[in-house]
Amino acid sequence: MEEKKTLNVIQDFPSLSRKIDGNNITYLDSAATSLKPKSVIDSICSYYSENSSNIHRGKHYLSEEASNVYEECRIKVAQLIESFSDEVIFTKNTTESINLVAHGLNFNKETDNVIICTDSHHSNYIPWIAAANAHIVKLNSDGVIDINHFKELIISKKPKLVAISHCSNVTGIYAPIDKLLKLAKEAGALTFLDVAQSIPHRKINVKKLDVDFIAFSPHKMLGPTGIGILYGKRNILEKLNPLILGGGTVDWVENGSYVLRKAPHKFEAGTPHIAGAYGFMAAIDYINKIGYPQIEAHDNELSKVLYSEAIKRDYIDIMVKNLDYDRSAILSFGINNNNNLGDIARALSDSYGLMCRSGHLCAQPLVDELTSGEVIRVSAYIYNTKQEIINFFNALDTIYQIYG
Amino acid sequence: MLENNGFTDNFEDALLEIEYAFENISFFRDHMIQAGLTPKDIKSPEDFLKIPPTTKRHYRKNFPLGTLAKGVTLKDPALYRTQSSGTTGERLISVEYGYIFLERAINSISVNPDLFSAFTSEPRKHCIYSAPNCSDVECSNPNSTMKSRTLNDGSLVLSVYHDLLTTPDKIYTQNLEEIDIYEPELFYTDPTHLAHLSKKMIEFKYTPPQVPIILTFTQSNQLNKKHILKAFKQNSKLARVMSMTEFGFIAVECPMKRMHANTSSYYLEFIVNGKPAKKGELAELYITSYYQGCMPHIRYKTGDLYRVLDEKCECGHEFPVVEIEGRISNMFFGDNSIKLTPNELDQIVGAPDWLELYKLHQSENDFFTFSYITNENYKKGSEDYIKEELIKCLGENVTIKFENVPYIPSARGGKYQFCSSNVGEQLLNEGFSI
Repeated sequence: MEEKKTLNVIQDFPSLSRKIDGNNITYLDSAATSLKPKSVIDSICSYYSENSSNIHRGKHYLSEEASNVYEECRIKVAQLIESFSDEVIFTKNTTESINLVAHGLNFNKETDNVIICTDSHHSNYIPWIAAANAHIVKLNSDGVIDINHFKELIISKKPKLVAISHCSNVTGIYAPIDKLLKLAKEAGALTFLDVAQSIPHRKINVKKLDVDFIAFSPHKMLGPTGIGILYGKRNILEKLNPLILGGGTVDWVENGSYVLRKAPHKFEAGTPHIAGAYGFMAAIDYINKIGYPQIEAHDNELSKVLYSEAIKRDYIDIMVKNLDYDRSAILSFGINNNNNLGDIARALSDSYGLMCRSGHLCAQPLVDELTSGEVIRVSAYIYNTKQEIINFFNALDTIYQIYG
Repeated sequence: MLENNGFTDNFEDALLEIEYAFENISFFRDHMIQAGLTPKDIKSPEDFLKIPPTTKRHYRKNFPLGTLAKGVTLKDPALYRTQSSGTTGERLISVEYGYIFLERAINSISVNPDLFSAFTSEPRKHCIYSAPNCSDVECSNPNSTMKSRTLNDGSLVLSVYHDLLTTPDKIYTQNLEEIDIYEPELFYTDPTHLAHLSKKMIEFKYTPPQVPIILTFTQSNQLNKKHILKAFKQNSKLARVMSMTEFGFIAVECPMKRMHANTSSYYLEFIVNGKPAKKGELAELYITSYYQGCMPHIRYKTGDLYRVLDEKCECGHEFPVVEIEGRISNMFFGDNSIKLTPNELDQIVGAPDWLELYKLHQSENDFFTFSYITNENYKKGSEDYIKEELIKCLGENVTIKFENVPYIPSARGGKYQFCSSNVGEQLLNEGFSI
């Protein structure tokens, strides 16, 4: 019965056939980056083995072929998030996408207020602090975003922009974005949504959300590293300044002046990650073939198992203990009286083949507020099964006997 | 064999073209020798079928050295160059003497007096509105000027974006201002592009000049026509033109709305299984040129499918009546045979009042996606009749996904095709013949 609820895709992921010191691999670090299916790897390889040319820079056959795939990827991304193709910008990763907006809107560091949230990843936190006068939404007593404080800041600070994370990379909790975006819109603020942790599991429709910007990284949704996505509403992209300039961003250059191209090309300076676009296109095809409803249902199922197993163990200190919140299959926790979580993570890896994350998870303000230090994070994706999660806890029980 | 169809009337001209090409075109000479043939072996239309067809690939691979006639140089100012959209596998540069292109166009357009008059009037005031790669002008640049988009022959190319549905209103406004300034005598347009401009004309309360309209570049459908006619209100002056980068005009719609194939400029064959098609049969067009120009084409396999209709047209023109069914790369396949053509899809979908734009795409042998953009007249279930008919055509064992979407992308070259098929494209690249 258990296996029927899995997506039965394990055979598509070559790295899962690998053994380390005789152990099969159980990959539980997908919030950091996902594994890549063979179709994505093949697509990336096909670029290097069959083409390898530059894009948008020549009339030869290979260049046009590569350019076609690159732009087709942009269209697939647009269709994935229900935007138009000229609203999709290729960047290096989510972090660069956020920096592009934070620094491209020409905020005045002293006078332009932005609202950011304590539960955000450093990438949706630091750039805003650096670029504008950032005000931070506190956590409530449960350890999630305090909506009342959010409202207070929106009213009192009259922010130019509100930056929200859809799903915490630490707690896996989904923010009530419909409500938050509505409040921000009503206050006349621009809205920025980091969907890096949510879009691998849930359909994102930018038109329905009526959000001004979203950012995400293909590598967390089966695609390659080194390529990121920024979506922006067309009328706002017209006003957004590029982060860097160079080849590909201009229509005309002469005697010390230049004319920028229209979006999205004015934001894409230099030779981009062409192979990344090949790979991401294959990843989108792969996700579409499974279907978001199936992926989301699988994520919900694994989330239930994660938390139901965790609460059985009194030595586990779950971040945000109220289990009523909408959560992805991400669990971060401390272990009673133990500060050697790195050692435990290493033992889980080396003795059991269980790959999970430890540390501050690039969200130090949140982790520091909710725990006494580091945490262990388990994050699952389409190639994981309920049994793997149960195996994880059984292994943890054994290790805890020694380290605990 | 087809009889009394007008296709074989000028066979002697085709024989002369073979002799000319054999003597002057190096790739064609090699092509014939490899097939064990010389011009002396070709004496009748039946012999003609022995010549292996030539394809776009031959002309791409051998351009210019192997495809240009002896003694021709590309510096000759009398040459006219055309270029196909540049998308992979389809890209092609063709050159021919300008007078040959013009004569073919004039012969073709003789079936439609309104178009003929506007097309031949001097000075030329044709307003071109098509995907950027079709017009050879990088007109998606918002900073371009009318001057920079005026061709040597005086035609004005209007600005477009590469992805049609991303075109901002300021570009449409600029288009309409330029139409007023230019005062065109003929619109030479892509049907989907003009349909969208037409919607903007209505939205902006703009009255367009009542001049003839040519719909070409991509296959037209009833929905596009409906949107165009709402703005232009002149059905009699709107005509489809089938043209190719390699030849120019091939078939034109007469005032009776029937397509007439130009048999005075070409030797046309409609082929099924290597043999001439029967009337009404779905067949691929092969073209042989006549003019002994700089780049002759012999039995050129076009990849376009037609039906030859067994009827005399009330317009009285002698050119035979045909119907274009679409390109092989846009056909929908099952079990390696064609299940549905773009023209048949157009007949199924029609032009209902709830529909703004649509596209059927075959991504795999058994997977199709019908994407559509609706308006305020849409009601749940409006599309049910399309579902039923598509299942009848494509079979019950395939998946047809219906998506009501806000956006349907154009192809990378800027063309919007309401039909596309990965299967058809692959089969065409592999040399599929019907």
